[in-house]
Amino acid sequence: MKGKHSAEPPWIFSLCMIISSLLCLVWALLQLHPSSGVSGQSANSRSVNTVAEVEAVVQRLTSALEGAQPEVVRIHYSIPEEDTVAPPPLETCYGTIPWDQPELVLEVLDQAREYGLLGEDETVAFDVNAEFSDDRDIEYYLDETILTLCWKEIVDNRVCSFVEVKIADASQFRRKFADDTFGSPNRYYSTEMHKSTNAVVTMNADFYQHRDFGIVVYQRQLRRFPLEPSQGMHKYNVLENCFVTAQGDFLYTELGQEFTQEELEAWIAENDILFSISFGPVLVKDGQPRQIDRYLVGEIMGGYVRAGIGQMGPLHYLYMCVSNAPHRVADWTVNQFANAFARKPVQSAYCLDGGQTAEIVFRDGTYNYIEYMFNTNERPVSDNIYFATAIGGVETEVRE
Amino acid sequence: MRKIHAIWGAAAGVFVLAGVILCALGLRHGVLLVKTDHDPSRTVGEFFGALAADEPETAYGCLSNYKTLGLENVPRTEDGAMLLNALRDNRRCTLLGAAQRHGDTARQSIRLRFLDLDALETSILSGQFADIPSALDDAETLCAEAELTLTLRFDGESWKIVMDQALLDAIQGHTPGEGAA
Repeated sequence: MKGKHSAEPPWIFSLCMIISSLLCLVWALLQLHPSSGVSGQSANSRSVNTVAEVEAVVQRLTSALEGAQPEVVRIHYSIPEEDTVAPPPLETCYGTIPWDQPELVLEVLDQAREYGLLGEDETVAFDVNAEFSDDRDIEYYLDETILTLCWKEIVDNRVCSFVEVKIADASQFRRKFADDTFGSPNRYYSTEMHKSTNAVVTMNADFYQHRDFGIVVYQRQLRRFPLEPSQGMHKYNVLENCFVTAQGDFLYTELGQEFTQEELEAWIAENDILFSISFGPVLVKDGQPRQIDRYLVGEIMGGYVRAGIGQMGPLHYLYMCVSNAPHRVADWTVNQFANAFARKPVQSAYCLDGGQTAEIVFRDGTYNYIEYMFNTNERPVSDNIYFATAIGGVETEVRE
Repeated sequence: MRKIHAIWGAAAGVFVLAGVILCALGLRHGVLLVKTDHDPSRTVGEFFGALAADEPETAYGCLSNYKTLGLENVPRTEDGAMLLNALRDNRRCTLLGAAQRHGDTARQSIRLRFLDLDALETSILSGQFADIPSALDDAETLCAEAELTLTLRFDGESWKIVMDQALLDAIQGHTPGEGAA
């Protein structure tokens, strides 16, 4: 009896169990969702702006009904403020024009007008009728965001190197400190800094590390504000300081102009100031040359190599440097330099560190004669200013 | 030692094999999901209902591949606001039959009536209407119809419309396939 009780279930029961199990398995497989593994990847990610589409219809109709041109959308380029390296210039945008064929520059200027960089009636400093120096050809760089012209001109029997720059956005006018750090003890050749920033053109500035007076603003922050007395004033206001705003305009403080640190910081914020240059003095004010007889730096009454930068208009600048050259000596006082600068169409101009520091770097090398070490080398410096292309930077749609 | 019956041995083998297959599929496809009985056409109805009710966020929740159609933005001009309202008020969706389901994909045919902005532009530029408000007074004559087949995809929880260019064109008041001018 025991053997019969422990026998296997009837075969029919086994068969039913197997069939029902298989049916369950088939059902489960049918419920397996074919896209279960990708359901997380089909997240909605696209977007359109229907309201903007509708507004475009309205704009087109309004323009057509008023007989106006339809709205033009163009791309405006800029360089993020915090970037220490600008977009690289495009090799195809460089050009060289023989020094004795300056009229060819007019084609470059026409192209700049076509790009909208230069206004139709905008005054330029470059003058085809000037007396050009035969020791260097005219160099230029032009893309949709920057026009840079470098030329050498004989002014009052001296060789002056000029750099005229027009930019599309103020962010293209930039300040470079060694190691991108205020107070870095390191100094570099301007050609090195030029290369490291991707500048189109680099010029010397104030060599701030070389002295301990004057105000320094860098990356919108007040970095140097020396209160110690100097010549009856303070070290911060014993110089006329130049400030560059986020709109690319020059602002100046006067000799002896008093600030507390809080007042100065508020003034910097209020005027949207990005950086400063502290050398001076102001050479040209309201288009007129300034004549001064006493200033702390620059040995103003002596005949030396001089450098300065002026503003012609919005985002339009002119750098001028008088350098020693074969058979021509750079021996201008600051007042003589100011007189020469004021003959160019600048609204204001500011004296930069000259002498051995004065330097223009364009493309792969220096453009002017360098005074340092008997013209054999560049002077390592702590800082400079430069202009860069914004092509490759941030793109913003502008509707006109 | 008890003797193992051959049938039970074979059945065990089948179950083990089935388990291995399920595990392999699980590894390959991720979590096993269960089919829904939710009708795809309900999503289509919800979508156009939300557009008509000016509830863009609800409408976007019915889409699988667009996070916004920009309908939540505020028009800059009065005419823009009028056009946007006219687009909304003249949009009618009619389901054509039931949705066809194939696994996690479904298709739903619809007939969509919409305000044709291209026709509106032409009518104003040709002088038929003086301006946008007067054209909208006669919006009925500027409406067009298009038959579209919407694709829907089941995302594990619900059916979502896969917005294609034809549907987008029609929603934005353009003949499908022609897009904005």
